[in-house]
Amino acid sequence: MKRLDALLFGPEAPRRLAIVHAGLVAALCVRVVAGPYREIAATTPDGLFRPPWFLAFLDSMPPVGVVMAAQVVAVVATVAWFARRCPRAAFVTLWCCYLFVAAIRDARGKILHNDVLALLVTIPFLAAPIADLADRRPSTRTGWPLRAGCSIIALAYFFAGYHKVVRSGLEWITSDNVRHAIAWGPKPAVGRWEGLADLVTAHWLPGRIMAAGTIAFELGFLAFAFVPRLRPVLAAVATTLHIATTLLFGLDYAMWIVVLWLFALPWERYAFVDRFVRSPNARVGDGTVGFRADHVGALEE
Amino acid sequence: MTDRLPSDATLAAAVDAPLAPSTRTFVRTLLVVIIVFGVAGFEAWPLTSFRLFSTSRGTVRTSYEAVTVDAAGRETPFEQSTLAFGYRLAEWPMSEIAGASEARQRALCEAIAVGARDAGREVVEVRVEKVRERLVRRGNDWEIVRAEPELVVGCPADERGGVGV
Repeated sequence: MKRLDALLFGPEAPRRLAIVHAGLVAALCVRVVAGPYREIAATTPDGLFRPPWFLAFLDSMPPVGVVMAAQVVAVVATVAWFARRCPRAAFVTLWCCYLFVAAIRDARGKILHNDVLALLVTIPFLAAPIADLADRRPSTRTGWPLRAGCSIIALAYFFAGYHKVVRSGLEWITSDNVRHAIAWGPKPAVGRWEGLADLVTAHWLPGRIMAAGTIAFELGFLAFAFVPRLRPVLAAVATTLHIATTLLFGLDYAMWIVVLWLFALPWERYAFVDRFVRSPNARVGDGTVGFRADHVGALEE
Repeated sequence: MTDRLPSDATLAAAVDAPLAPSTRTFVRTLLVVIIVFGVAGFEAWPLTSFRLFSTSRGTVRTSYEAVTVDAAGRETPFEQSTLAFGYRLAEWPMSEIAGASEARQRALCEAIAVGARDAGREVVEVRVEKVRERLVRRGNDWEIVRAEPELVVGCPADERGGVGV
């Protein structure tokens, strides 16, 4: 239990938290603005509306104007966060907008996982301190949001593998399961790379190798929480799997990939990030990046 | 790219300020909830059990499809994948239509009729069918062989042009 505690609440550089936080804010904003939520709200008839539990009070899709308002609010919240104007409230607002539009996408009867990982890993950030980009001293105060996020990612992939084993057993690997899934193709039909599908389904062997590899990889993904050095490797393999899934089934795992890389890399070591993310202590005009030791604690209050 | 790395001494001098107990409780609770949902297979989106591609796929599948019927009795597949975003996942609500209330069945039929009419089709009846398909390997190709669809719910047009049950 103590080891688990040390894992979850160990120190991380505030600089890393600042970078990951900024990346999440940018990714959420782009997702909220660029997703097809207005079209979904405008074209989903009442008879096909199946809202998630927290929108169950609605009988139909909210008006397009409401969706557009959520998108505008998300942009304003993003600008506020980067300008350090009530950043915590700004992040909560942005997250609520993201939850709302993602729920609209989900409210069509099928459980969609496109945005689930990003929504869950950002929950700790709702209460996270606003960290200083210039501060490289690892601190327990800035470690827990990152470590909780890594644990959530690890659990998500682990449970994906766990349920394959629980629901289908070894048959998931030893049958032509993957070969069949690819041969059936996406439903509803969407564009995919038929050449790759033909290649994978031509013989029984590629499908079984993919199946065995996928389950082993997903069950072993708990290492993402425990072994920081393995994170980039795991993220690279997962990205390959997601891209293959997109090419073969037309499924959108973009947010999974973004989240993976934000949490996988030791961003605090990369100087180039300074060009994109400004320190809250930087003094305008003198080109310097300031530092204040009590910054993190002060903002946590 | 990796200049200004923190030194080992810096890393060792990590600031070990104590965390508020509420922070620890918050993180632990969140992780426990995610684990409970994962192990038990609960679904309360966005909390999910992450059952991604978990069911082994064989050579037979059952799915639900809708067809619309025009005044001449011609059947046209609903083909929701060619319609607007709001219709693309219509198969999932269709799959629960057999056990649904009459009102819910009527609402679903009306939704399908509206989508088909928006696509320029004449609709006097909506039928939701259960379709059994078989995947067959012929030479280098895969072929999907369909059995005769089984009618689950038929919604004829009422006198106002809407579809009912």
